[in-house]
Amino acid sequence: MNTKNDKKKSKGYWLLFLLCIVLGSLMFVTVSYTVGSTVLKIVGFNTTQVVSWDIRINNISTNTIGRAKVREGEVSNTMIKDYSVNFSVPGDTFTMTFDIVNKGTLNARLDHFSMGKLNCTYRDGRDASDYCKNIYYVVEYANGNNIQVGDILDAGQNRKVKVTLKYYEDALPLWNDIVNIDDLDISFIFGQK
Amino acid sequence: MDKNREVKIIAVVALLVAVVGLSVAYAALSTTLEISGSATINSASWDVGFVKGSHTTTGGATFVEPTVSSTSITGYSAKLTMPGDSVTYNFKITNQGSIPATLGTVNIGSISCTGTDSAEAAATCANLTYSVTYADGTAIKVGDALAVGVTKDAKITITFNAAATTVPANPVTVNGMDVTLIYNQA
Repeated sequence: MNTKNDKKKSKGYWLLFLLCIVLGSLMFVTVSYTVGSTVLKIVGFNTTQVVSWDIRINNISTNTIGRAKVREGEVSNTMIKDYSVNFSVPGDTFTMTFDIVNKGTLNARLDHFSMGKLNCTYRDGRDASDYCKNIYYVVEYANGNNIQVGDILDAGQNRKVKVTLKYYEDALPLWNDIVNIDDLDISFIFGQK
Repeated sequence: MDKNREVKIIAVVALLVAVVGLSVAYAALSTTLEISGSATINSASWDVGFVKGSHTTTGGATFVEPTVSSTSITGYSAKLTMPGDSVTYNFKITNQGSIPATLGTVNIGSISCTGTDSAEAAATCANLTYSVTYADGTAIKVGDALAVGVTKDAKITITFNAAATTVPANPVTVNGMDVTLIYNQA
């Protein structure tokens, strides 16, 4: 009896093993299909279809108003690193626009979006969050729409993003001190739609 | 028993492989775009002052340029000889600080004339026109704003009226041409 049960169990395990192998193979086939930068698929008689995944930043542009100054930082297809802005007088304003472009052939979805919360300190390290209430900071689409998780970026589409940093005109002057503002970081994570 | 155990192990490994495969498939189609930055707000500064200008003369008038510092214009002199002669000294008032300013005090002197002949000097003074205004002729007055980054053009003009019918026989010194402008934080 035990032998019969053992045999049944063994058979079951083998079936499970085979199922896993098949599933695993299918996954690897899918991975191979997408990780490879290009797959040529012949459909019909004379049609070639190229599949690719390519989300990138493009067309970066900065602008300042008043005495604001900007250092633009390092730029790559997926990064704008360590730009810095300097304000001198209330009313100074900095804006940066860039395109997020889907140059691939697969539609994409914004799975994650985050922007920094302005960490402000005086020269000696004291908290300056009260003074930072004189700073307006927003990251939005250039048409004024909010950026939201779930936003779609179809293949071939691009969306222009605008970053605005403004020193309010009616702010009281900052006497005998400076304020450093960190955490202006922004992150977009796009996944396949 | 050993064989069963072996089969179980193989099945678990296969499951793990399938899960890893799934994870790899999920991770491959994802792109992160990152922007990092910082900002600094500078300390406020107060910087309201004069900027050296130029002069114009008409007729036979002559002019000696002043010494100009950020807060004073001193030592200029004008010489008028005939009716119609005039001197205009153009200068600028600028706010290069980061704090808006407002004009709190305006003292523009009234001219008086002295000479060896006091009557002649007084008569000469009556034929002189002295003014300190903005370049467009509008009055400089208390309350005038001077915003950050703004520069205003102003001028000092002294004219020997063209309608005067006499000229002094002796030199006449014109006094009282001092001007004081006090700017305060707006």
